[in-house]
Amino acid sequence: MTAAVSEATGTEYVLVGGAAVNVHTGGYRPTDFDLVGPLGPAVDRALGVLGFARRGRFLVLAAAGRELVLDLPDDTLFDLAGDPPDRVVVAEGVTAAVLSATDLMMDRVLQATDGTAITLEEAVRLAVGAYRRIDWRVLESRSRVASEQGSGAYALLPATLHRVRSLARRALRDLNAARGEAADGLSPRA
Amino acid sequence: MDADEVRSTAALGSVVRREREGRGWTLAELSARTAIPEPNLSRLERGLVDVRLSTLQRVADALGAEITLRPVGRERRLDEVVREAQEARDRIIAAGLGESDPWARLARRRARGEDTRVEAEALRRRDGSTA
Repeated sequence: MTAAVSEATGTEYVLVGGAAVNVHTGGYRPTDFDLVGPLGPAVDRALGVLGFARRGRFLVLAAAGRELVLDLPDDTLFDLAGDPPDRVVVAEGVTAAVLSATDLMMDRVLQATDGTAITLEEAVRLAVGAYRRIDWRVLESRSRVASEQGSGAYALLPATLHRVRSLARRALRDLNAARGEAADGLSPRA
Repeated sequence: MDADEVRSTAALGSVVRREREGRGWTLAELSARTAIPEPNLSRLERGLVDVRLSTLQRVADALGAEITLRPVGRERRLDEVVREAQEARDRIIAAGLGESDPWARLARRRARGEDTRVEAEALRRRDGSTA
């Protein structure tokens, strides 16, 4: 999808949001595809050639009884993003740009500052799934700077990041311990 | 494992810590696997030492990693991305976190005043379910 939209519009879009979470962790079942890149009537026209029709803020492609929902929320990445996007080679000479795991973690932690269980769970899922692909040192630094310069959600970033990382570490430790116990259980005993 | 670009002792320490924690290991476990004293590993992870290559090699071996010099700039093949996503999904499920529920996510956004009807309709068509 990302590569097709980039090809149709002649410019690179970056996959963000839930579909990007799905790329990094699988099993997310996104409700739409969020792409960041140029906006405007020319983009709508180019995507119209592919069969997309505007429905409110979305562009929808209907085919075979299903609908593919595309959202172009912004023309630039959110202000706490700092990495070049990952590039996935989907075919010979064709790549799709996807928000890096570190930037995605920043986005999910920012959402988790709303204090709801669901956003916290989503952030912890990403942290557990992609823990080793996330640059935690960079996140700590960015969240600290953001909290010093901002207010509201930004002020909550360091504590929320710490909570998400702690929960993920605990889950990974428990998982490691459980796997160790399972292995022991399979071992022959004298 | 993805490759990391490391340009400082702090960055190296951060990567080692992340890799250790990503396996659910304590410092003591890494110490046992490398025969490197725990305080030394702690200093390494905090970026306080300019670690010797032989020490770093032992840590890398324990973590199943390799030390490489490579040109900057990297792309991943689709099959690699799919495999890593599957491993991540398995890890999330095995950790007891369950799968993300798109209906619950839409409900949260609806509660915040967002119009989610287009996405809900697409989800209904895809899943054949409602919520």
